[in-house]
Amino acid sequence: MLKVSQLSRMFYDPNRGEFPAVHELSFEAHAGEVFGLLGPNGAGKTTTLRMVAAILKPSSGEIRLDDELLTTSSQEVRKKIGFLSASTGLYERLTPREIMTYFARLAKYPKDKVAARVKDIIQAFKMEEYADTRCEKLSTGMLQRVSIARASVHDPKLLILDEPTSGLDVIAKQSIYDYINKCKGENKVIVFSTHLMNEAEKLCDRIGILHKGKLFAVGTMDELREKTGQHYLEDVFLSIVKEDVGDPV
Amino acid sequence: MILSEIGLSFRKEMTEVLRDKRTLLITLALPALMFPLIELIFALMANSVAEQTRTRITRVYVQDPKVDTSQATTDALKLKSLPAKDAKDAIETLRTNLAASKRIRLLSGRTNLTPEALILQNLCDVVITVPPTFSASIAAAKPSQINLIDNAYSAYMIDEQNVWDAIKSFADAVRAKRIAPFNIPAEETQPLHVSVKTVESDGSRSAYWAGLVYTLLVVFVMCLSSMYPALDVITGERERGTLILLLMAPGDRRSYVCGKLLTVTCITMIAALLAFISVTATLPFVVLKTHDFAGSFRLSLPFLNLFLSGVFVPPIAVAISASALVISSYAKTFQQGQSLFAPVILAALLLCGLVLCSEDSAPFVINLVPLANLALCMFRAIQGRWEPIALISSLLSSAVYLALLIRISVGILDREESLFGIKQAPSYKTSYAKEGFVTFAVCLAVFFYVMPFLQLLVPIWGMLLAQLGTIGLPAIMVPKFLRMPLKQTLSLVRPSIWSALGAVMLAPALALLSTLTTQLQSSIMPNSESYIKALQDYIIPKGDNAWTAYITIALAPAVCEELLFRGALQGMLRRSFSRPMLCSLIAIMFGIMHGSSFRFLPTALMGFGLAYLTEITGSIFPSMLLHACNNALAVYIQGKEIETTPTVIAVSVVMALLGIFAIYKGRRPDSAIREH
Repeated sequence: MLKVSQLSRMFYDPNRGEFPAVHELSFEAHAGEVFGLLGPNGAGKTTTLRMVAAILKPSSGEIRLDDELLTTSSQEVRKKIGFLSASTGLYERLTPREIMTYFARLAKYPKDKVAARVKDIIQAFKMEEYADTRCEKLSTGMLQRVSIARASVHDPKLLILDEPTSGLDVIAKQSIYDYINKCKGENKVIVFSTHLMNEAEKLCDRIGILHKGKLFAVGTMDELREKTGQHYLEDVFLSIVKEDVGDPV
Repeated sequence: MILSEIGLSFRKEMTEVLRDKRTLLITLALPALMFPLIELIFALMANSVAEQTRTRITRVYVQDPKVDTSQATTDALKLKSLPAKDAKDAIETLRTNLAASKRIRLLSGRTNLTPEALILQNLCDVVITVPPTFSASIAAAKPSQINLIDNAYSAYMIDEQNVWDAIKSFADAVRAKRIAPFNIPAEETQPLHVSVKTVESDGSRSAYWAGLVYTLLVVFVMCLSSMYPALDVITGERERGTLILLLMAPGDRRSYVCGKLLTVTCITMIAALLAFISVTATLPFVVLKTHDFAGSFRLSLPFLNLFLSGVFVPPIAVAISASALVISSYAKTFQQGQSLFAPVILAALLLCGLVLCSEDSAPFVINLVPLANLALCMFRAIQGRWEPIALISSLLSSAVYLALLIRISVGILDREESLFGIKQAPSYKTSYAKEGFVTFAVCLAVFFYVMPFLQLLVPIWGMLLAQLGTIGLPAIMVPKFLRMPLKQTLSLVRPSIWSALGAVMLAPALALLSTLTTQLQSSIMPNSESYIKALQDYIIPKGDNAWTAYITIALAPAVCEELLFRGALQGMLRRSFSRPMLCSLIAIMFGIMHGSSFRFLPTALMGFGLAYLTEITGSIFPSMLLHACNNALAVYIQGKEIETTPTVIAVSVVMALLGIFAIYKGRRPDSAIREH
């Protein structure tokens, strides 16, 4: 289980001075569950996920994965994290097989099992045809598959997906949805951020609504509907982020 | 660090880099381009040599013949009726003939140095010696001989025709004297034999040139060929968005950087090897085709030494690659990286070029200067000179720099602002005292190592460079690195008109105080006149244009030293000490920085005053102004002491009182100064 408590992160802008990009954020994500962070651009989703991925230090608060404190310096816990975002790329001059082998080895996956694992992943993602072609020659959809495969090659327990469908076509998006559902079936903890309401509604078991660095509401779709009296997530979101609706949780 | 992680990173980077056409092009094409480049350099050198030959004056030293006083010689002289003084007359004829030429400077005087030493120490270009048996040979009508000593370098650098003409005239004079008593036809006499000895062989001169060319070539090629791989493995990762993934991995980040370093090192070494082969294959051809060298300079490459000097290629490659990685870590984009590399490559070449060209006068400390030390070792090794102490100190210091560079590179990659472009808030830590003292110690050490060397190379401008590089630059970079608010730390606040006026009015009193302190100190701890004179000459060198002196002695120190002492150091220590303690510490540091017990007290007192002035005005500019005026006054009176006449004292005191009044009128409230 992932437990985030009172997580804050201050940023600095020469004109504005210091301001909170994320302010006292608390939520939990359980195994076999997709937890969605929903918010507009600049809400603090990426900052939150970077802190959860242990690549950005929080100003305050703590993150625990299975009761183990997650800090930027802890090496053991990094083995358990898979990270994918729209901005993470691939090595253009390497083949998907080489990339996956490299990242599996980096994540300290048992050396003698790396080749077999990579082979399995290639089969699972149906990448046999282009597994040995350099990435610079692959299409966007193929690259997206390779990225997902790269994120899961070391069999992580926590999967962090930061707007992974940004800029993708319908087919490529579907491959990501399939993968998320597959991971859910494998009892992984999945934290997923998006600003697309339909995507959140379709995939997430629980949703946290983030706005201006603050978490305004957390709950299942039904709980949020009940709280706001709105049916569609878009309406739920708008009614929650209105200034007069409730305090941040 | 774990070897398997280094190996993993190395294999991946090597695979990627070797698939990059741009890197391959630079690595392989560059050596091929070396040929025309070298040809161009040699052509330029040849032209320069030809120009020097046209205008150069040849320095000739004729050593007096030692008089042979043995009985046999005396008898022979008597027998042939040729007085010994005639031989001396003949030498005088030689001297007269040589002196008649406008392009020969005849050196006179006596010396204990051997002719070879005179040539090697560059005291003269040609030495003519007359053997002790010269007179006897003339008397006995035997073939007489004189010796001409030069070196392979001067053989083509000087115009020896005038020397030979003078010798021919001399030979005619000797012949005329010898045959005069005997009525012998001139054609039947023995000719004068001139034995030519070349002190420095073509081999040693070739080794010198080979050392210079190959070492600079290795440095240049490595700098250039390290650029693309370094940018690719660091900046490229950042641009592609893979750096985050790498830093997320549960390994030691130093291992990844080491793997990348190993890759860049391998590529630069391959490039250096190809350049070496290319140049070795083309250099003799270029030399032969350059007519000014042909016939006067035979290239004989020291192949064994060149091969052995190859041991310095890996350390130089590692040093350059590690520096390239640090630069790449700073660069956010390829384009930015390329623009950062250009000045660094030029600086590296300039540094190595200066060190190699002034090798004889280079101080020992040069063995601790990164890259220059290894280049110097390689340069010497090509000439067959292995200096163990220089070698060990160079390798050890290079290992320290390497560890430091890896640490810096990892540190930069770790920084959130470089990874995500996040701006960091200025740090308002309570105390920066430790950092302040370390900064002072490092600046002091670097200043005293760098300044003498730079001053040796370029006296006045070296002082300016040392001021800017070792005092001014750290004053800005250290607070920036510590994320201290720059404006507040350096007290870069616009002063009031009163403060500025007051600072200028204090200048005569400060100079007078300095003079009185020096006089008081001299009465307690007297210094020798010669020391004081040498110190004055060192501080204010003679013979330079006044504006240069005002810039280098008044303006630059005022700006740089104030930025460091009253700016950075005072800003770092301000929160840890009370005002009197702070000003005292700054004063002591300022006194120490002036590097002489003779100057400590006056400069420390001045430092106290300037620190106090900064504290009460809240701005660094009044102290800068006062410092500049004080130094300008010193330049104006040529470093001498101010006359302490009652008028001078009275005027200074009145001005000082007015200045103090003006400063107090324009001071900022204590709370405003302390708060920032």
